[in-house]
Amino acid sequence: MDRPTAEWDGALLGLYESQRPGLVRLAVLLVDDRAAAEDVVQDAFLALQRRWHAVDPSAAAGYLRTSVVNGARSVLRRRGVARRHLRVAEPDEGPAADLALLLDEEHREVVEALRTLPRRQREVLVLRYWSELSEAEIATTLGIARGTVKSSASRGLSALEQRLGGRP
Amino acid sequence: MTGNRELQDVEARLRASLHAYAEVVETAPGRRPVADRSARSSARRWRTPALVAAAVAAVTAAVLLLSGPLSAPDPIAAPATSTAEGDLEAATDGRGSSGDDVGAAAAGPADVLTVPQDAAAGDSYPFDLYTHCGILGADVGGVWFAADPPLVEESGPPAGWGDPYQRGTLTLESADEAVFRDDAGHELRLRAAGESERPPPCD
Repeated sequence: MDRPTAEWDGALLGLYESQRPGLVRLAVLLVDDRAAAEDVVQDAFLALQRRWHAVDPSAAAGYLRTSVVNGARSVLRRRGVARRHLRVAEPDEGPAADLALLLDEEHREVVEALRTLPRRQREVLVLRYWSELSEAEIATTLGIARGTVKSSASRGLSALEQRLGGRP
Repeated sequence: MTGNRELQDVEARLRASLHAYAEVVETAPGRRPVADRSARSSARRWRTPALVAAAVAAVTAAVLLLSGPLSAPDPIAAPATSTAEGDLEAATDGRGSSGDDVGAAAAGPADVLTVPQDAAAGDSYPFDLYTHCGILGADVGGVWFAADPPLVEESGPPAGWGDPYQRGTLTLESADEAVFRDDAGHELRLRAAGESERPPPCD
C-alpha cells in the first residue's frame, strides 16, 4: 500500500536520526573508512526512499542494515579492483585516515586481525558481536543460510584466535 | 584444537574491540537524504529500454516492408512460453520476445523456469530467480512476491548471485509466503505483495 509523502517524510527523518549513527559505525567496521561509510549509509537511505512503497515500516531498519552491508561490499570490491588494476604513483597506504590508529594497542591488534579475514567472515562477526544480531537475523541480513552463518562465525573466530596467538 | 575457553576469550576480546572501534567514529548529524538521484536514476532506467524498443520497431518495420504482403504468423517463430517476470523484464529491457535471435540470445536461459498458476502450498519448483536489477522479488504463479529483505547492490544482485538469473528451488510455504534456495547456500524469503508493489522495469 502506498503511503503519502508527508508520512514518508516524517518516517524517513525519524529513521534517519535514530538509525544513521549506528549504521555509519557498522559501515566503518566493514570498510575502515569514515567517508566511504557515510556514503554507503546515505545511499542506503536513498534506496529505502525509492523502495518505500514496498517496504514494511517495521522492516525498514533491517532493510537499511542489508543495504549498508551490500554497499560496504561494493566499496571493498571497488577498492580491490583499484588495487589490482590501477597504476598508482604511490604505494598503497591503506585508508586515508585509519581510525584504528586511535585505538589502544590491544584493540588495534584485534581490528587488524579482523581485516585479514574473508569478507563474509568479517561481516558475520561484526553483525554478531557488534550489532548483536542472532544467527537468523544475520542470515536474513546477508541473504545466506543459517548454517553458513554458523560456519562463517566459527571459522572467523578460529582464525582470529590463531592470529591473536591466544593472548587474553 | 581450539578449546571453548579460548574461543570465549576471543569472543569477549572481539566484542570489546569492535565496540571500542565503533566508539572512535564520531557521527555528526548528516545531510538529509535527497531524492534528486532517484529521479535521475529513474530517467536512466527508462532511457535504454526506450531506445532499444525504438530500434526494434524500426528493424521490424523494415523487415515487413522488404518481405512483401503480411502473412499469418509462423507458429514456429512465435515466442516460446510465458516466463512470468521474465516477460515483463525482457520486454521492457528490449531483450525479448520478438522471436528473433538477438532477443533469444540476450534473455538469459533459453527456458526460464517459473512457477505455474496452480501452485499450491507445500509445492516446490525448480526456479530461475530474476536478479538483474537486484533481487526484489519474484512472480509466483502470476502473483508478485516481494523479497524480504530485497537484496540490491548498485542496481544489481549482491556478489555471489547469478545475473540475470539465479537457478534454484522455490517452495511455496503458504498462500503468501515462499522461500527460494539454491546450491550456493542462498536463502531468500518472499512474501505475497500487491500488484502495485511489482517494481518497474529497469535496464
